[in-house]
Amino acid sequence: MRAGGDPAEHLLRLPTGTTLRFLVLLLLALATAALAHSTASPPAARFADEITRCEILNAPPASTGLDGYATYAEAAVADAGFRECVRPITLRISGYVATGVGSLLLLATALYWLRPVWIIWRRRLVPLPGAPEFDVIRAELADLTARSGLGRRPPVFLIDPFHGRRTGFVFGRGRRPLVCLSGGLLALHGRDRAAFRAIVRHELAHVRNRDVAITGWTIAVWRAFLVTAALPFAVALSGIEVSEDLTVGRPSLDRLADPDVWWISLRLALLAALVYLSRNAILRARELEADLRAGPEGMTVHSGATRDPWWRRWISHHPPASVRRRVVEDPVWWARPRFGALAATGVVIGLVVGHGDQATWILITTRARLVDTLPRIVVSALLAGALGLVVWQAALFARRGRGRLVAHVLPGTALAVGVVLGREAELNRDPFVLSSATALVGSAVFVVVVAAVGAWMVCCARNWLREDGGVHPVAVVVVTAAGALVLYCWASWMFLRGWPTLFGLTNWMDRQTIASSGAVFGSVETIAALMTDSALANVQSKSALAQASVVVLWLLPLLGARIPRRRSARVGLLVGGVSGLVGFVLTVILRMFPPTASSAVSPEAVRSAWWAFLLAFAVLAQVVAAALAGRSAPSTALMAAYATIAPALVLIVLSVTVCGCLPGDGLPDAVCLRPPGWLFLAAHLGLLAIAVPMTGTLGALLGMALRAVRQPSITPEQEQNRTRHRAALPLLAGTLAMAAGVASAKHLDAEDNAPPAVMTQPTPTTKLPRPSSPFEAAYFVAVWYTGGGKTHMDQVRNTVRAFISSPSENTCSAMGTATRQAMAFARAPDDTAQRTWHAALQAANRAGGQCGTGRWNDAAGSALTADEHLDQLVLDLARALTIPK
Amino acid sequence: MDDVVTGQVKTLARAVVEKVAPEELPFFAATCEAYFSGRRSARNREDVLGFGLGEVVTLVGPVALALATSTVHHLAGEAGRSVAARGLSAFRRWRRRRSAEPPREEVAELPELSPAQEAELRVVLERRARELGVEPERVDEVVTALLSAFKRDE
Repeated sequence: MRAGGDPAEHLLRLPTGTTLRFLVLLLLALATAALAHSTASPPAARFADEITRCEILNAPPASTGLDGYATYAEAAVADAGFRECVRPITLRISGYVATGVGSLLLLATALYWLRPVWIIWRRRLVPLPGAPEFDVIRAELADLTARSGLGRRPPVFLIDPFHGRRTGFVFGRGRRPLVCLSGGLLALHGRDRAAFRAIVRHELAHVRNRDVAITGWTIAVWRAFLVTAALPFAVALSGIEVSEDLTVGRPSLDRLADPDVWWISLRLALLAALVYLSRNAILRARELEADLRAGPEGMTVHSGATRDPWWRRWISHHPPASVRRRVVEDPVWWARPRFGALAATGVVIGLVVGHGDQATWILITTRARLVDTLPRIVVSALLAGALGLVVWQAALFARRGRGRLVAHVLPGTALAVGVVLGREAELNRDPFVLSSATALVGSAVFVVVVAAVGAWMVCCARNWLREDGGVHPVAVVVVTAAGALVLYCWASWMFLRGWPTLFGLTNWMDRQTIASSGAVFGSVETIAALMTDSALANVQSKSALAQASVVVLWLLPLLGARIPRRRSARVGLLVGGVSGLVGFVLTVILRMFPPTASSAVSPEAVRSAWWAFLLAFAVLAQVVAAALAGRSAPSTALMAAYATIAPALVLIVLSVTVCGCLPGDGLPDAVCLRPPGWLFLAAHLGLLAIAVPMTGTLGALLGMALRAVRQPSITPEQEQNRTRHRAALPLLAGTLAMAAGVASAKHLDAEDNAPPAVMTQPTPTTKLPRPSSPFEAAYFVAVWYTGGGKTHMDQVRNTVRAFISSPSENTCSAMGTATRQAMAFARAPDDTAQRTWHAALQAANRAGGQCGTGRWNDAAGSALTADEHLDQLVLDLARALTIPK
Repeated sequence: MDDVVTGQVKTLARAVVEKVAPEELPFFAATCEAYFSGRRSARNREDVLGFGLGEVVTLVGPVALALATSTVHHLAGEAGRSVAARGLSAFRRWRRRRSAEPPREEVAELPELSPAQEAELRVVLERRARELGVEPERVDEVVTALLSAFKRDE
């Protein structure tokens, strides 16, 4: 038994987050399986056509014009009639998804249960011998089991007498773990008992750490995924169509030549590689935990190990011997946050959200609000959960005075960068689609926010660590929940990129609203309104009390088990009190001398001054935090930032409450309690309550960075640590730069400014079946129109009119080219419209021939005829698209 | 493999293990059980949730059993054993497993070897030992230990 001050003991009492990483991989398997079945199932092939058909059925009246159909499509999702129309096919697809996911779970369960049986049979494992010669080993095993804390429920030992490697391994099911000892290990007992004990202790540590069940499930789920999801997905990608009556078609060579198919295949392969490497990375982490629990006796075994090649370290289940030795010698070193592991977890979280969201989109007809909300709640919970588990080791690492700044910044940054990259790696995304200035800024804001929340959580964790290194489970829950809530309240920032499905935890907002909000920093008030509207909706209340509850929850984890009673915090209180008093005095002055439109100080000027005052408050909190972080613990700096703003908030609310306002007294909205003033004030309170503590965190980090730079002399150990963490910072910067480069590969995203487009674009064909109903007839016309018919109509019309207004060789040639291209396009599905269209093209073609031979007058007449036919064509198509409901 | 042959194989193999690798004696019975249930080789790669750093050694028990089997077959030959005798032996083994009786100690009687037989057998065994992956420096030790078992009853 180790002493209470042993760092290894401290570490073993802290959560590590590896179980969550395993669970996230399981979720990825389920989400990807759901996506695969929603896109590869037989009805899915007709889903796009059904969408268009239902848009036709529920489109606004023809009086809105042909383009009304196109603009309606964007809002069709919200239309109850549309959703009712697509319900049958969405239910069928949902059935396939449920069957696919259910079969994955069933197969995984079977594999999990059968794996131990298979291993025992395959390797001919046998129980411990009953021979008297084995009694000594049996007694040794019983002693080791009892010392490992497994005496009440010991594992079952088996042996593999043919296995020459001096090792063992653990398998089985959660409640019935099995420990297999190799013949090589048993033979070691007589020669090197210490090594024998070390290896057995290591295996027993796996049992003690509960590694058996989670590892077994992860292996089983991913094998089941390959069979029940990846394989059908690959078949669908190859173009082999399987109908609902299980008739199998032939592979489509056209599909195999489609670059999108290869893009998705590449992403699928990368996904599989990511999961494989992530799983092995988690297994390596679990091995280190087992080494730590087994104790330093194992070091004698490690010392003789050979060096693996560099590439093997990525695919091996076990860490290199040098790392294992280092962890046993210096456990705190192992507690350092690792960028790669955290970023990989972030990538998986991003994929879980993306695939889950895409898979649930087909449930558009049922509980649309829930379908929008659920994936976003999942990502918030996963991010906060991941942070909430890893910050404890980071806190221990920082508390020992090693790489404090990196320990605070790295967890949130790595996770956020991973999520951004994960969203880009989703299976059904176009390559480099997240590429615009807005997207880049949105991603950067997201990373900064999560990094700040992570840093704040590390500060809280440092306050809640006990002297013996342990932590109360309630503390883990409180810190995690507070982090999740803060992330939740910042969700509105993600609307700026139209990422409602990532962080939009509030009402669904369509892209028209987002686009109308302008550029990211074009309008501060609009941004604040967007954010605070969301914040208000988040807390389901417009009262200051609700805002205050968020403020208190943000403060609570900072207090922890030891309330800091430092002079620095009192300085913050003093600064905040003075600032609040200033605000109170200003409010009273405004009440006594209200500005009017004709006075020297207009209401608009007061509003601007009020904004400036609030901004100054935010800057003041940052400065206080930065200054104090340079001299004391980061948590003290955060407390001081908080103390700066809290009294000010109290005094502002008090001043408004006391002053109130009367109707018609001309006071600006900022100081009135009644709407819209109340909304405005609450909005500012929300902004302060959520934003300022966050920015206080950034200020604290800045102070820590400055302190690290200013430190005049450091010990050799500190220098060594600083060198290592300096290596981490370029890696961090390089990854951020790479993410920014990927995000900026495409220039300004036309989506933000382009008019909404039709959601689906089926390709028109020259051979159409006879429509079975008026609905289908209108659907065919819509397909023709949106699939290129409109484009050709416009081109012919524009060139004809250009020729009419300015006859020349150039306009004649352009008219002829546009006409020839239109004539090669598919026929219009409606007979009347086709006759008109044909007549228009004939006239335009005739005009082109006439102007080509110098008969300009005749060509002008033919062009006018073509223009008349094109006008008639618009009416014919509008009639063809009008169908009775 | 009938009971007589099984007994002979076990006796020979045990003699080798006693002399060359006595640390494997505690689990020699388990090795025999695995061998006679069909196990012939080991996959010495690392397992999930294993230790990961263990050195690989050539276990003497499985090698000894394989060499003993080769010896017995070389001396007696598989041809001439009746199918019925083999089947009866298999049935008896299955019944013992079902009734959870401990396996009977196979007390084997080993034939005496003439010097010519011993020399011929030595050549065969040395080749077989190298095929089984025994280190060159241990081949002679293992083969000598096995051949010395024939002189036990003297």
